[in-house]
Amino acid sequence: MKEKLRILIVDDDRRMAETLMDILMVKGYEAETAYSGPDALDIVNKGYFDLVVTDIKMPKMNGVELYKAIKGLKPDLPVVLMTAYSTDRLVKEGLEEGAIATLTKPLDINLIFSLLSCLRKERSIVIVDDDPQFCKTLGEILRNRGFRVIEVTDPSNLIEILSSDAQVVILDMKLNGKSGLEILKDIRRQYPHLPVILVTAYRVEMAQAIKASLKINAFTCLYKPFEIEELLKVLTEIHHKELGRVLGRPC
Amino acid sequence: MVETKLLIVDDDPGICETLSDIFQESGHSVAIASRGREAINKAKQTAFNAALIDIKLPDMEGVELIPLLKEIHPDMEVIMITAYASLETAIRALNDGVSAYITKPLNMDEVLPTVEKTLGRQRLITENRRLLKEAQVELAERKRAEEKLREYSEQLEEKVEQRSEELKDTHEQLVRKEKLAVLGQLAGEVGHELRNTLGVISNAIYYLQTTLSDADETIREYLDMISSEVRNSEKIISNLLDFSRTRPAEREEIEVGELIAQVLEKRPPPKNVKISTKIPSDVPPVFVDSQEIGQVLFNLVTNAYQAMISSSSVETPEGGELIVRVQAEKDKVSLSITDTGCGISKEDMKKVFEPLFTTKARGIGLGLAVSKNLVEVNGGSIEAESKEGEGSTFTVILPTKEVQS
Repeated sequence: MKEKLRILIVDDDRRMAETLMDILMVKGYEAETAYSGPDALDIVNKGYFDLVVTDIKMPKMNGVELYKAIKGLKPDLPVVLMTAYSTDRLVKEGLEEGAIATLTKPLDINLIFSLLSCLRKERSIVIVDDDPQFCKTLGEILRNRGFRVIEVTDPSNLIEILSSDAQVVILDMKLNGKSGLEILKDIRRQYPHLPVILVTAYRVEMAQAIKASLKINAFTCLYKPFEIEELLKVLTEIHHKELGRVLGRPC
Repeated sequence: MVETKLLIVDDDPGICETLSDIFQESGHSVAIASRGREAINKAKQTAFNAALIDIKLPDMEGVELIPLLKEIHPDMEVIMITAYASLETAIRALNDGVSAYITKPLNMDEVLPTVEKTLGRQRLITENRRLLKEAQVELAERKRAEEKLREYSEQLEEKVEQRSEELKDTHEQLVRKEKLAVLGQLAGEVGHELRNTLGVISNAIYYLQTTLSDADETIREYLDMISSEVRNSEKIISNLLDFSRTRPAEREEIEVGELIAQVLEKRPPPKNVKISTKIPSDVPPVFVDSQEIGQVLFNLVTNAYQAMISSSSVETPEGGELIVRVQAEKDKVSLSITDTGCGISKEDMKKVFEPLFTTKARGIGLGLAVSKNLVEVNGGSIEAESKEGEGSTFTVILPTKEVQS
């Protein structure tokens, strides 16, 4: 369990920002407020936050502009937009840029709480690769980044392992005796939406299997050797998508 | 020039010959009769322009002959030949239909001009008559034309009236639409502003509910009340905003069954309401904005539930059945939602899709107007059928694939 989550609330309507802050604090979170985009950016730059909730329609810098600036600064930081104008073109732009979700005012506070409890959870990753060296090194790196990692070199009892609270699977396409595609099919039978990242060193040889895997909802495929930053970016993308789903965005 | 035919009636051969000579020299054709009977017989065979009649004939008075001849040729001019050129005779003769007279013994300087003058007069009369006839024909034609014109103008008037009525309707519709557009815009702006305000109220209530969880029952009850009223207001505003929204529909292919399932999940039936869906498996997907049509179905389902549980009348029992039927027809899919609720009166039926019309105690009457708008921007149509006391059916017809417009 992490310590208290910190949330930044941005709204030029001070009463909105303050009431929301009071609610979060009374529920045991740490919250701060900012009343403009530039102020918010300043605060984000100086301190650590788990979540930013910002109004879209603000003078000087609107919420979507703020989100883009935050993304450049801290790409991992999830941002939720809120607005009274659900049909605004900015809403669409914000979502396309990768904001978690847009909430309509008046806010359904319970959605924020579901989101926060999701953020509180440790993110667990299952690495499936018959190369113990690869498992170990990647596992180490991810653990250092705060993930809970389970390394699986023998996929025979993978489904049982996944039954705990796995959030992401990193799956090698070529394991001893069993192909990654077959394992993915097994996973899909039980978990139709579980995000699976494929990894392989055989780009050409595996092309067909990769294509088939993407068809049954594999998230993406990374080619060994890959930059760890690349993997982290994909993990953030998956995480933000999950958070969006908690807020009712279709996947 | 047409030859002029003259008839001379006199029993004095000398006079007949003299006159005949004079006239023939002047280019007239001449016939001679010495008695009245003979004159009548000749007149029956030839249309004479004029007759010169001696005042005394062996078988009758010259004056007696005049009407007999005129009976045969009404236009024939009569010139009397008389030895007694008294004024009295002249007047009487003129009254009897005589145009002129010449005296015996014949004055040669007088005869020809008198006859020519009479013939000239006759030509004038004939010409006049011809002209009159022409004029009459023309008049008749004109009358007919006028009649036609009047008929046309009547039809025109009718048409104008009809068109005016249509124009008036269109105009009224336009005015209404314009009013609605203004209303929509206003509603949109006000609605958004109210959402901000409601947002703060809603947060404040949440805070109070959280911190006052051990307050006495009345306080908690009141907080709940405010909270639910905020939600109601939010719903009304959402409807207003949907009504005023201007974003273009984002259409995609989607299964009708999926749309219905989503709506029924979001809006589960109240107690005592049974749902049955009849969706054939081979219905093609519809091409619509799923969010917008979802909203329409949500509105229709909500209305249907309300019709079945709001027992404003005693005889309709609470509860009933909601039937969803789907049918594919050519390049369309029809989706109908039937309830067994209170139904809609004939009078209200005309107005159900009009904005700001409502029979509900709460609500501003935009649900169906919004639904109609949304269905139409998605290339579909919506219809309603209802029987008071038995229930209503709303049918939405949606296009199946992108139609090139």
